[in-house]
Parts: sequence; C-alpha cells; structure tokens
Amino acid sequence: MIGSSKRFFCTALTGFFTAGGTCLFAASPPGSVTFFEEKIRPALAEHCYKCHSAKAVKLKGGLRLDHREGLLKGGGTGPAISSLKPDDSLLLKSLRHPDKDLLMPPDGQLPAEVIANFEKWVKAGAPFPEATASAANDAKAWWDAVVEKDLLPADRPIHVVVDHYVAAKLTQAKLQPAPAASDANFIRRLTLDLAGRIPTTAEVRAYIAATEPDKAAQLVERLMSAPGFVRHQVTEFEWLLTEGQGSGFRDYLTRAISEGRRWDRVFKEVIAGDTATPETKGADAFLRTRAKDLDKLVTDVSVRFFGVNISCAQCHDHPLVPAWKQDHYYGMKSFFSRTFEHGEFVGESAYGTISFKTTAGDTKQARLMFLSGDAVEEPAAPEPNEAQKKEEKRLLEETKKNKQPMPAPKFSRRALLAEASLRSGHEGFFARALVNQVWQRLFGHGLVMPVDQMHGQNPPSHPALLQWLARDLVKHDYDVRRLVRGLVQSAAYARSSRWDGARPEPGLFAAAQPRALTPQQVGAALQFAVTSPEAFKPDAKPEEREKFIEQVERAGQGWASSLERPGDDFQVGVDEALLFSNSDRVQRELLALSNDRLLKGLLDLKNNRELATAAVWNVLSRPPEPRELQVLADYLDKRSDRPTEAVRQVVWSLLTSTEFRFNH
Amino acid sequence: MNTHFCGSSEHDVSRRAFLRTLGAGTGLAASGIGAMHSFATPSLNDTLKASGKSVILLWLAGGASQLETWDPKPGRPTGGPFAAIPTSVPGVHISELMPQMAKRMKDICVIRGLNTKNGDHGGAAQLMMRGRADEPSLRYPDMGAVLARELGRTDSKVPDYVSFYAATEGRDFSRQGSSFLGARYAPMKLAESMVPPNLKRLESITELDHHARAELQQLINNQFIAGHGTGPVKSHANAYARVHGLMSSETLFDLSQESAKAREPYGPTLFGEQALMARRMVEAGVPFVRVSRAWWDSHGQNFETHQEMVPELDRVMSALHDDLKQRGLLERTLVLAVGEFGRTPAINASLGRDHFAAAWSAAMFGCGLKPGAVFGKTDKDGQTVIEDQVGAGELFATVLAAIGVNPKKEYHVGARPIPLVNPGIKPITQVLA
Repeated sequence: MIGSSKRFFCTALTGFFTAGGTCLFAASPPGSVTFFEEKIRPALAEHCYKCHSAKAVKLKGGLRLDHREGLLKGGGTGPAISSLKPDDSLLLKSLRHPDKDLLMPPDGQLPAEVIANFEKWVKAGAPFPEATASAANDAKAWWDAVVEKDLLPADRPIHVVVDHYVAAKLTQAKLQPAPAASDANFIRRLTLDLAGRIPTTAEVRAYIAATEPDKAAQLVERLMSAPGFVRHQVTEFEWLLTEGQGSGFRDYLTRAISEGRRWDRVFKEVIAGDTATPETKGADAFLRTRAKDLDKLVTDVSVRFFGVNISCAQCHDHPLVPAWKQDHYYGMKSFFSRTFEHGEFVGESAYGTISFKTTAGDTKQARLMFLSGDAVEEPAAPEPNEAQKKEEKRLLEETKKNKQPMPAPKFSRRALLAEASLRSGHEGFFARALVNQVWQRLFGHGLVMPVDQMHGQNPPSHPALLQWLARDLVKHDYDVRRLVRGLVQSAAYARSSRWDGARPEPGLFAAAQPRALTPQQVGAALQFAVTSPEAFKPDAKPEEREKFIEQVERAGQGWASSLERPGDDFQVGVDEALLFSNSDRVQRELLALSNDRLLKGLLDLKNNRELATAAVWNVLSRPPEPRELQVLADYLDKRSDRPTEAVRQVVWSLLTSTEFRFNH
Repeated sequence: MNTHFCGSSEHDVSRRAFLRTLGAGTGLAASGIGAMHSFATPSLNDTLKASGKSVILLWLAGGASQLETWDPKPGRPTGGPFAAIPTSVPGVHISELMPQMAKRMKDICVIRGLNTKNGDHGGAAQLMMRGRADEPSLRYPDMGAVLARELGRTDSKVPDYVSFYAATEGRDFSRQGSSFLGARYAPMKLAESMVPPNLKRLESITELDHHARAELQQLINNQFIAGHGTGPVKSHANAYARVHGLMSSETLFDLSQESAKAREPYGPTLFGEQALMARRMVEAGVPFVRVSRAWWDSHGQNFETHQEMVPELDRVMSALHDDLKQRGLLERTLVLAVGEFGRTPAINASLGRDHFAAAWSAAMFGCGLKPGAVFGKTDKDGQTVIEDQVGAGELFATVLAAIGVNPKKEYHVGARPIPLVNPGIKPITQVLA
C-alpha cells in the first residue's frame, strides 16, 4: 500500500554513504566530532549496528559499538580498540581481515577509503560523543523515569504545583525570575488569552484601582464566565484541529465548549465522526477534510491529538525512538484504513487490512497498534462474499446519489482507537499532548518543544510538572477549563515579559515570553483600540455590554483574514507592514473620524498631553511612560496647525507598534 | 542526551551538518534544540558566493509543447506541421517558430529529458515550483521562497520575490508558498496590476507625515524591543524598517522609465513588458522574479496556439537574453523557461496535444550554466526519454547549483533537517559551467 514516491527519502541516501561520504564537506581532522559524525557514525550505523548496538535484535559477540565504553570494553574477543597500539586494534583488524570468517562486516569488506577513515579515527583516539551505554541506549521513555509517588500530591492546586516545579528549575539554574507583571500588563495578557481581545481602558483602570488581594483570581473568573471565553477557546481549538477548514466544525466546537463538554468526549466524537445527533453535528469535519489522504489523516491525528509526528516511520523505523517502528505507523494507519470519502460524508467499511513494505523490502501485514506499542485486539472481519460485495456497492452508489451517509459498520476501527487510546496506561499520550498544547498557547513555549515531538526521547523542560498536570487532567475528566484556570493563576504566568540583556532559555519560564497575536487577536485588538472608551458604556446592562463587545470583536475579522497565523518561528512579513502603512483600509476603518471612534474622542481633548495619554491608554492598555508622553505631546504641539492629521499619525504609530502586535 | 531530531542513518547527512553547526555532539540537549530553526543557523549559510545573483523564471502556465519549441520531431507522425531549423550550435535543431533563439542557441542550455511523472495541472505546477511533491505533514517552500531566503538581504530595499501572474488560468494551481520559511519570504504578487499593492503612499498622507509617524513608531518601539528582543519581536520592527526602502522601489515598477528603444525588442505584449520589468528588478537586485505567460494548455488547435504564442516567447526570451547580456547581467542572472509539463506527442482529434510529463523540455541560460549544452534525448517520436532522464528535483537542484547555492544545504523544521532538495537528488553537472 505504500506509495512509491514516499520512499525516495530512504533509499536515496544509503547509496550516498557507501560512496564513502567524501563528497560533501571539506576535510575535518580525524580527532574531531565532525569527522566522527561525517565518516564514522554513518558507517557504523549502516554496517555494524544491526548486531552491535542497543538497536540490535540480538547482540553479537557481546560487543557494542554505539558508545566509547563499549569499544574499550569490547566483546568476547577483547577490547575493540587499543589506545597503546591503535593499529593493532581488533576493530581495524577485523575490518581489514582477508579471512572471510573473521571479516567484519560479514557480508563483505568495506571500501578501502572507509577502512582508512576508521584507521585515522582510531589513531586519533577514537573520540565518541556517547561515552557510555546509558547515553547510547535511549530506550527508556522519559515518562517512565518520573516516579508517580514522587510527584506533588494530587490535591494541590494547579498553580501551586506549576510554581513549585518552575521555581525548582530556576533555583537549579541559579536564575532570578522576572518580577510580576504590572497590573496593566497582566490584564492585557489575560484578556488576550481568555477573551481573544485587549481590555478596554475602563477595565484596565478598574483592575489597577482594585485593592482586593484576590483581584487576579476574580478577573480570571469574570473573563472565563463571559461569552468571549467560549468564542476564543473555539477559535483556538478550531485552529489546532482543522485550521479553519471544514464546514460545521466551528458550530460543533461552540456547542461542545459552551456546555463544558469534556475533551475526551470531544476527541471521541471527532475521531468517530458520527454526526447523527444534534450534539455531534459537524464533528466529522476533521475526518472529512482529510479522508482523501489517509497518510495525512493518520499524521494529523498523531500530531494534533497525541503530540507525536510518526511520519518518519512511514519509510523506516524511527531512529531515536526505539519504540516506533514501521509497525507503529502502519498500526496507527490501520485504524483509519477502512475510512473513505463518501460524497459529503465520511464512510467506514467493515473489513479490509493494509500491508506495507519494510526497509528490508518484505511485505508485511499491518496490525492495529497504538503508539504505546501495544497491539490492539479487534473482532475478526472476514472478507464478504461476492453477493455481499455487490450489495455493498449498490448501497454505496445509492447513498451517494441520495446524498446520504453510509450506515456505520457494526464494528468501527476508528471508535476502537478513540477507546483504546484513553485506556489506562495509554492515556498519557493524549493527556500530555493536550496539556502541552494549552501550556504552549499560554506560555508561548511548550513544556516539550516542538509540540509535535512528544516522544520518549525528547524530555520536557519540567518532566514531573508535565506528568503531574497530565495526571490531574485525567483525574478531572479532561476538564480543559480547569487546566486553563490553573495555569493562568500561577506566578509563572503572571511574570513580566521584560528582560534586559540576553533572554534566558524560554523553557525556564523566567520571564513571560512575548507572543505574536493571532490574526483574530490582531483584528479584535485593532477594533477595541480604535473604539472610543465612552462607547463601552460602563453602566449599560451586562447583556448589552456583552453584545457590544462581540460586535466590536467581529468587526476585526476582516483584518484577521489578511494575516498569517504565527507558528513557532514566526516572522512578520513586509506585506503586513506595507498593508498597515499604505492601505486606505487603515485610514477608512481604523482612523476614521466617525462617532464612537477613538479619533473623534481624542480630538475633543484640548490638551495635547491629555490627548497623548488617552491614546496610549486606549491602544496599548497602559499609562504612557514619561518619555513617550513627551515625544507624542511635542509632536502634537508642533503639528497644531492641522490637529486631525497629527492625531492620526499618533494613533497610527501606536497601532502599528511592536508592543501592540504582541501579547507580552 | 539524545534529542528528538530524526537521526536515522538515512538522514545522516543532515545529522552531520546539524552537528557541525553546534560544534559538538555532546551538548545537544543543553543547547536547546527547540530553538533551532532555519533562521538561527546563518553559519550554515555557505552561499555567500551566491550573493547578488538572481533568477528569472518564465513560467509557461498550462504547459507549452516541447515539440513546437525545443525538441521538434519533423516528419514524424507526432511532429506536427512545423519544421526544425539549425541553430548556432552545430547539430542542434529547434522549432522553426523560434528563429531568434536558434541564433542565440550557443548561449542557451536545453534539457530535453524531463520526466516529471505528473500530468495534473495543480500537482505538476507545485512539483515544478518546489522541486518535489509535498508530504502529508510538510509543505515545501517553492523556488522563489528558497532563493529569496538564500539570496535576499535583510536590509534590502527591493522585494526578494516578485511574481507576475496576470492570467487567471492556472493562477491557483501554482500558488507559490514560502511554507515553513514564513511570510518573510512570501512573494510580492502582481496579479491585477503591474504595480504591487500598498507600495504607494496614500495621497491623503503627506510625505512629511509618512516619515513623522514612522519616527514616532520607532521611538515607541525602541523601549519595548530593548526589553523583549526575541526573533519574532525583531522581525516586526524589521518589516516596518523595510517599508520606506520598498516604497522607493516604486519607480522600479514604472516602465515609462525605459526608453522606447529599450522597450522595442520586448514587443508590445504584457508578457514582454513583464519580462522587461523582470530585467529592471534583477538589475536592482531582486533575487527571484517569476513572469507567467498562460494559455498554453492547447487540448484543441495546438498548432494555431503555438504558431501564435511561440514567436512571442521567442521574441521575449531573446530580447531578455540580449538585454541582460548587454548590461553585463548575464553573469549573475539565470533565466529558466518552463511550465508544469509538456504536451503529448500524439495529436488528438481536435488537433490538440494533451498533458504530457514523460518526455519534455526546459530551456535556460545565464549564470553558472554551460552555454550551448543540450542534455537528454527523446526517442524519434518524442514518446520517451532515451538518454539522460531527469526529474523536477534535478532541474531545481541545477538552478540552485548554477547560481552558487548548495542544494544540500538544510533548513530545520522544528528539529527535523530539511535539505533544499530531496536526498540523493543531484544537479545536472553536465550543464553547469
């Protein structure tokens, strides 16, 4: 079943190395790591590791060649290398040996050039980056090393646990974290994260003025109980799962999130793709947009729900994750192998298996297998007879013509995956991935990076913390709200983002990480920034106020569609700068003089310092710094001959400032 | 200590290059591979020799016929009505529809053995633009984005990647993407107009105000950036810092700056004007310009279509060649003419030729190429490649190598190394100078 085009990556390179690895780079000294990595490791990997490494199915001669200690200790016939008489080293002897029985590798002598490289390397002292077996083994997943009973007790509040583990690592790194963010900084950050917009001037002022010791917690509750919280969560999860593709999915998520549906259920509904009930209508969009390409489907399910990208193993066993073989990829793919596109629906057949080609060139039948490596049992599904097949075909055609879904099979492999992946002992993948995704969204940097490489050999910055949070999530029925609430109440979340000098490694969470706003946040933020503070009528009824907030938020959608969703290495493009510099939309929509707009309100202020102050408050959600105030007021004074234009330039410079573009 | 990047022996080239950038193998985890990405490894940029170089892609959208251009088969059942003519390279013949290029053949390099295996407009256009097919979880950046990244300068006052695509045919098929390289390297697209959007100052804002507000913005930014100096934060300020430079390139897009004498050889067509525009851009240092000429998809009336369109291509391509040569730009500019595929040797009932990717041609000239080289050979009817077959990847790698970009260079997506061309794909050394 494997597409031949997918295999080029694997086959092409092997040939490259047998050429001796001589073509690519300038010569490096034999004692250097570069020499080892260029000349020695590839040859060892290709010719020796099948029998002499942690990856060996059966270790031959007790000899390991995947770490230095192994070479020095050697196997049954003695040390493989001799530091006193390098030229007499057993390793070299066996590579050079004319006698077939003693020759290594057994399937034929290596090219003279490769042997010469080994000679140079051994003479240079055989430097090896991996000193010991434990360095080379890599076999144990990091989560197996976290002992559950050593974790903080389960009844501690989430934010306490977060701060405990983050502080421990900071102490270890001897790093003093940044101080707490100012009130204005904090409410802007929190409002962007929980409501997807910036706060109004009145909200910021009220928060600063509040004196209750638990005012932060109150603010969290207020924002989380407002309708804007659901809208923003929907936007974020919609992006995470379908990137805005697929009709009906947003409505589905809106229903699920507003009623506080648990995330394991959402996961099951999305994987099952069952749209029969009103609650699940639209849930199949995830499958629908991918059913054409099962490799994409299995990759996306693995990445988006389990935080692992196993596409490596499509062509070869995963080299660094001993647990992931081709069997795993095709084992996961098998859960979707009966899924097919059926007009506007997704169908699933009751039978069928897949086979794949191994790197050795054999054809192998895939078995259902979860990422944990456990095979998953399923009822037998015999091939139907001719008559049944004919009937099936008829039904397919008829339902397609009538634009109806195919009836679901009695046994669904997809439903089995949803169930099996949440079984005790398996659920870690799903829980850790969800925690990491939410953490990354709120902290700008995952506990595991990249977020799609959450495998056993890529430990988190804070292993115990991630394990604790995952355990907490499972114990509390995958309640995402609870997780979000806990994280934003931590001191780590509330730190200032400012750091003078070289910033510490982001995984220490010593300071808040500035995050580029999402397109939806930019759109909403622009609209809130240019709406006159009076327009939010603080004494209006709460429903009316909420309605107005939603209206302002919606007005930003046009801007959102012109921007790119920021990824890990986001770079602002010059197109964006040109758009905000020269598009007349900016003048028309953001700098207009109409009622309810910031500009109009500002022009009513007679004093330029007052005006500059109000502009900074409204756009940047904070009081101006003295120097800023000076610069802006001076400019306004100088341009007093045409105040409208002058105010426009001031507001523009604030709207397009870097500070505005980031959640910091 | 091991980390999460794919260290399969199949990818060990990557691993080695990767380790090289870090200097040592043991410090991997400590040095925070999570932060590794394509922008963080300028030391890997061994393409300094490529700086100042440019590529112009004449994109023949819809698929031009190789038989009516670079690989004629006169007198064969598949040959069609047009004759082949000798060129300035002894023994090499091309279609009689290209007399101008025939004269210049000693400067041109033709690949006659393309077998790209994809005859679907959309997929094939992406394949040719990216040099490979996408993976389920990874979209590759196209040639323009790669060259913008490799050749563009951060402080450049001109765009890095300009794409003219006036016709509607196939515009979405070959939608270019900078993919994981990010918006910084996305094309400036010119579809409806010859002048890019948002490049011109609004009349309602005076020059003075335009500058004043940028100064205010900078003053406000300084303090924020000082305390928040991450890559994304800096990229925002950098993008705005380029605005005024780019705006001053507005005259670049103004063809009236060219004399009638300079414009004449290119002819009066839009394609000709855009090719001239491309020359202006290359002269100003734009690393990659794509000029698209559509409507080659001649399922019916292939010969009328080509009789009308090939002479235009002949004129524009030779004008571009002469112009670049006279200005001394040929040493640093490579011109490639190719589309998503060629056309079937078999002539259908509507006297058309259909999609054909099994044996077709591309032509190029300029920087780093061996003048007059013809590589690859098709059988007497043009049905199959019988000598020196190459695919989209080899062509892509050849363009990179010719202008001095190492095709084996790698980007990183997360920690995964992504070479500029797929492993094992090599440039066609026979056509490299």
